[in-house]
Amino acid sequence: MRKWLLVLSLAAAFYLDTMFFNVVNLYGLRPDVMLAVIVSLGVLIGPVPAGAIGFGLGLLADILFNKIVGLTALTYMLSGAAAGMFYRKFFADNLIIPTAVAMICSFLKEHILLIAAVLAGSRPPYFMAFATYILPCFLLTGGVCILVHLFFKHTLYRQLWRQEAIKLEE
Amino acid sequence: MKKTFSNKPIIIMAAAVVLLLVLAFFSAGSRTIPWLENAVGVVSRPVQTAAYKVSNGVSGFFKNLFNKTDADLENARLKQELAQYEQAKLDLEELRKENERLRSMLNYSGSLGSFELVTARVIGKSNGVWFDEITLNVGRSRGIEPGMPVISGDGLVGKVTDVGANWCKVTSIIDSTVTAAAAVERTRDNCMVRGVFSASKPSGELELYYLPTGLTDLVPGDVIMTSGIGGIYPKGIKIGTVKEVMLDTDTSGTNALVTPSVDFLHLEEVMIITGTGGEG
Repeated sequence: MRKWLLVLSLAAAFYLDTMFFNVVNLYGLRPDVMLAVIVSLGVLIGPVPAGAIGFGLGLLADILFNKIVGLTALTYMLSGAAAGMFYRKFFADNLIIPTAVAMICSFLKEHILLIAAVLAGSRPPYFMAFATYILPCFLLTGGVCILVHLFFKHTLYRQLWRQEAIKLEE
Repeated sequence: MKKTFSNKPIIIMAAAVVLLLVLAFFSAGSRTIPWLENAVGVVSRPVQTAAYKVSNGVSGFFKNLFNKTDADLENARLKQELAQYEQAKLDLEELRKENERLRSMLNYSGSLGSFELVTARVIGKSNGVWFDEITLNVGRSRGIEPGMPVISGDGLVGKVTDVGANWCKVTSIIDSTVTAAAAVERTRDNCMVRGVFSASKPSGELELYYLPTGLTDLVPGDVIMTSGIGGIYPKGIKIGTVKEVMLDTDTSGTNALVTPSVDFLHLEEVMIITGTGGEG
């Protein structure tokens, strides 16, 4: 049950991020749903599985849609690992940690892609790009991470907690 | 230090970081698609096609929801008709000018021959605003090769960059890393166009440059076409319309903002030019 829920959540995030928000968005602004999911999972299930999920999802998105293969995978993998550093260090109810990590990771991800675009020959005006794209997107990603984390906390985390409690009783 | 090197996950992650950076470096340029990337593309193509149709359906639903009065529908129909008449007028003007040039140049070879086209459906778009790539549902099996120009009914879309067995990726002309040789349709002045970064305008904008000041009378509304110089894009394909003319203080040249003729936000079907079937 937990595995199916996880797979469905990841598939939904992948679809929303790579297809849905490309067509349906507000003046080009869209949250990074996959990043929000990976960060939330990192806090709930630890750095290694979240990093692996980030690597897989990012690489798939890169291969199917993106110009430079590897950058999204790199940022998602590191985001999952970074969020995993808070695994079992805070209460699962804490929304500030995953939200803050998601926003920081989104900020860093966009800057990595910006550097890649500059190296490829693009000359985007930094402050305009920051004000019109990077800032709104990282705020949106933080907002989505709150919703995602609440969803996972009520579904995924309870099951994990029960499984661990059973193990301890045994 | 010793503890770090004995930590398996950290070693694996460091190796993955290095691997992904190498992959990103090599995939940034022109390349041959590795078998794994090709296989992933082949397997996921039907799913991608279906999912993209669903997204377009949702987008269309909301569009129709806000566009459902009779007056709005009539307005949309008239706009479409006007666009068709404008394109026909443009084609006629282009033919007239070509005819004039042909009369004065007996050895005119003509580069606007009949094109061999392969129709393709858009099945994906790149994430974010830093790069602008679209994925199409045709590939090597239909004779597609890297570098082939891609057009739509409205004008130039871009060129093929990566090709798999039954899919390919196209870098669009609104990508800010892409440049194209162009010409002003009215004055025949040669210039260049490149994509402009614009987060607030996902439909994209182009910048026209290398147009010497004093030698041109570029005005808003002028139509920009491909010039055929460089050999990537055939001559005479519409790129866009001049929106605003500016003076570049650095080069003392004339620059302009160009609105692309293709609606990149609602691009669903395109044509890939695989060759010139006609004369010349």
